[in-house]
Amino acid sequence: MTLGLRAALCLLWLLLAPASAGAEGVPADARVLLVTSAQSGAYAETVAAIRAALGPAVVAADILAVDWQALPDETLHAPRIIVTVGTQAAQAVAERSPRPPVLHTLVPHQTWERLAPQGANGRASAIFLDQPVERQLALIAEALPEWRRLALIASPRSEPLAAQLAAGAQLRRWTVTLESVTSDRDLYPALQRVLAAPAVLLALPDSTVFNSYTIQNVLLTAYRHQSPVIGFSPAYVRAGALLALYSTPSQIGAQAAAAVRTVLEGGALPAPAWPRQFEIGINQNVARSLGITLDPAEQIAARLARRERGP
Amino acid sequence: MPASPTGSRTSASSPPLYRTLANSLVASLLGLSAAPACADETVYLGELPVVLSASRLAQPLREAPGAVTVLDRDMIRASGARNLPDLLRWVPGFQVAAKQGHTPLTTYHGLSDDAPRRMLVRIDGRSAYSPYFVSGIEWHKITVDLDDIERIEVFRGTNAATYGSQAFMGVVNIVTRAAADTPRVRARVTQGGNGIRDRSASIGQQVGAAALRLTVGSEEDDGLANVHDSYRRRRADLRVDWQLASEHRLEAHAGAVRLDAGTGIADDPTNPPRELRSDSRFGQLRWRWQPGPDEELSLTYFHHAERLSDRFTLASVRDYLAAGLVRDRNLPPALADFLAAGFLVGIGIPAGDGSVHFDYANRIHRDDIEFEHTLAARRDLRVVWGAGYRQDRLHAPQLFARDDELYYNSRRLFGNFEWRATERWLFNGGIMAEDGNYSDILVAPRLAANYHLTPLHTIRASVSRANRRPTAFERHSDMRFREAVSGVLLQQSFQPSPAVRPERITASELGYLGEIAALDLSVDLRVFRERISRLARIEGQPSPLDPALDPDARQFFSDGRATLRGSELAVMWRPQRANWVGVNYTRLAVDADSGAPGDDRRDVEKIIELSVPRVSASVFAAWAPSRDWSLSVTRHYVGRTGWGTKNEAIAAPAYYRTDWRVARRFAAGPARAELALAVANGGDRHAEFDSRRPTPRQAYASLSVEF
Repeated sequence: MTLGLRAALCLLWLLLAPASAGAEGVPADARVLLVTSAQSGAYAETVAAIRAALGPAVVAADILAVDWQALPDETLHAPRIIVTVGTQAAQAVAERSPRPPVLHTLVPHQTWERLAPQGANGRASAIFLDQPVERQLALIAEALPEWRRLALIASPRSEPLAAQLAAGAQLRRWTVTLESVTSDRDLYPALQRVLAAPAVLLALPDSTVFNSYTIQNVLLTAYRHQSPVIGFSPAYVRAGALLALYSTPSQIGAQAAAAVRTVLEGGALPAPAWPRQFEIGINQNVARSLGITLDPAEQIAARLARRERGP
Repeated sequence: MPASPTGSRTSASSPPLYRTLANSLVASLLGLSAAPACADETVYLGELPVVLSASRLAQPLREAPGAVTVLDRDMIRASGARNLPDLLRWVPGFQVAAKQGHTPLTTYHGLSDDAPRRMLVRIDGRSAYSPYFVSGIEWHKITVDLDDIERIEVFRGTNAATYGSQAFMGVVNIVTRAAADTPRVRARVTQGGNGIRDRSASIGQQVGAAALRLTVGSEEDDGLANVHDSYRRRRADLRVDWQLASEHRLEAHAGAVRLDAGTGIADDPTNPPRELRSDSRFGQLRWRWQPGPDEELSLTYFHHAERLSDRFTLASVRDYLAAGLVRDRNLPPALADFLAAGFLVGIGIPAGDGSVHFDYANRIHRDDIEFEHTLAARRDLRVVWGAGYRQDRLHAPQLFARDDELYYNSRRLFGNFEWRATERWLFNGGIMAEDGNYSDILVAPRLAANYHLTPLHTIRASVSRANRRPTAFERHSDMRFREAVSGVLLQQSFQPSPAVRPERITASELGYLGEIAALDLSVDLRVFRERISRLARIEGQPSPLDPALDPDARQFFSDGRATLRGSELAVMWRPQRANWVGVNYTRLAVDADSGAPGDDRRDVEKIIELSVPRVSASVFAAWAPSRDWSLSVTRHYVGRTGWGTKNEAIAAPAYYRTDWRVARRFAAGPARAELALAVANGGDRHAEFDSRRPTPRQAYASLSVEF
């Protein structure tokens, strides 16, 4: 194809795109509207998981997925339920205060609190992306039963979370060292202090402290102090954390689909909830090098699930 | 995008412009998640660079194919050492001495003259072995600062299968801290007796996805007693880690070091007290690609350049000869002078006197490129293989009697595997093949089996063979000294040794490694036999050039044999990181057979036997009574050791040595500071290299600050 022809086609596509989107567009009778922050990666995975879990009871034509940027006002009032995937989508939908119930997914707990400062009102709910404090602490207890020291580094933003973790750890009679930093420049000395004795360093989902630039510093320093790091995403395990606790987009999608089904069947929107299903990632190379023997991830996950179900 | 209140802190604190630019540039070009700007779910979903890749992780000792001693940062600090070689005193089986204050000598299991060349030192994978002239490791040319070292892994025993022929009897791997793992600013001042004046300063900086560390420093002291060897060393060392993308990392290292030092002996006109200057610098680039969690490829290139200036003149050959006649033959000075003048006229120096210029200047360039591929082919099988090429260009007219450069090239191909056959059995195998323009293909294989009695108790057996390529000096040395005006050849002190062959070692060992976790105790026992054949020795042979003063010129011969048997025990009780008591004990027996003809035979065997200390032992302890205080003390015993001498009176007699250190940490405003007092060699006066050169006692204080 010549360059000129390609340019002409592009131009044509640009001219026709809005019209064709409208044309194939929003069937007024779509019962489930999925609004996504982006159309790739984890967002697409979540959408696919919701579709898969809803079918065949809910036919594909009844499910419409749109990008948050292509969100006409009128589409928001027709469906029986709106599911947002990601923070940008959640924000865009929340700002329009739609009539149907809204379920936010792939959003951290903190984002939900911002979107619904008064809490759930029956019209909106969420499935969080992050893991409950109790589950995180239980992971340490189950996977690393001999470790009794917990190290935390928080910025003012994540201090409430760090405080909850610290309180839970103290109930278990662990020693907790908590350092507050205001920028990543304070990170190095803070790491030296919390890891003065080997401890489990629990990474917090706080990009001031833990981001792709500081991760080197964090993992190398912890490794040098013979201290395992626990992360909150598979990327952490790849990068060199010993363990990570996370829910995959598919797991969250399946949980969202269950909520959608309830609403479609006439039930009420479930209350905001932590992800029910989760995974544990293990970096065996790091475990071996640190001389830590771990049970298989599935076994640890099963024990955590048993704990949560209660006796 | 709506302003995200959760992400506002970092962006509101207005980072410097270059930083913002670099962050966004790198993030946008390379697709890393630019986390500081947006929080929310991106922090859960974003990619992260692989930090603890297989090459960064230390191999668990119980899985290593040999005995490994690890010196970590706490131990390095507690040692109080001012230089790298002193740290090796804590490693069983190693001998450390100093020929001059600026020429430390290190060897494993003796067998060394005053130029040890049977072990390898690597810094971040870069060989510090100088196969150019005589000595293997010239410690003063290493630019790394002790505070920048992450850990030192010492492989006790031959490891040519992994690192090539220079790792003939052992390898010291120095791993420096990643640039990101560096305080922003660090400074250290050390001042003490014997002229000790050390300075060091370092900065660490993160610029976008790149972390940088620059350390500069200088060391000086007055060296050994009775020797003209005061020195000053200035150095700079740079490391940059640049995370190009989550799977790609670029590491750059560069360094330079200058040594200004005294050398020479007071009553030797052919080696008079004088000053020399040595410059050395290098640059290294390593690209690492981690396509998956179980695979890593790396490509490393480094260039190393050195320059030495060391020249002097023997002003009067006649005076030199006459003094010799007076000393050795007890002739009256006037007669000796007359005879010397007459002799010089007779050999073609008409004036009856002349001078000799000595110029040991040299220039060296090394280029080295290596490719390495690490792959966990299966869950139970890990493979590392690679290839490399090295070229050394040596220009040293006085040493090689040639004005052009001597090229010394080598190629290497290696492969190692680690097979976890069962929960209990682990097999390590490896082979290295090397060839070069002055040697045939050398093959070094190794096979090791580790059996885990329990996860914490391991028995190991290994066999290996290696060959050491002769150094350029061992093969090509050709040192000629001529009268400056007439050009008459007075002496050839070394002649080329085209027949010199690679030394060969065949080693077998049994090891036990145990960790008794309940008692915080680790035990490392190694019993070994090392058979070395074609051991090099030096002997005077008639010079083909017929020099006027001495008909003989020394040459290297490869006909010696030595068998070492012994055991090494290292026990460490370490209830806490900063508290420990360690005990090392080494016993060595040597059986030497020199291969030299006639009366020389016994002399050479004596040199070999004297070079191996029968017993050495160390006790080292560190105690931190509180967070702020730390105390450490080391007591060594080293049996009699000769460094290339057959004379028992010259070999360093058995000695005890005590080193200790007291340090207090405190906060100074935003900075963390430490004040330390150390005494090196606080025990009895003794010599470590040569009984005539006592090792000085050195007391020094050092203040370090970091923030």
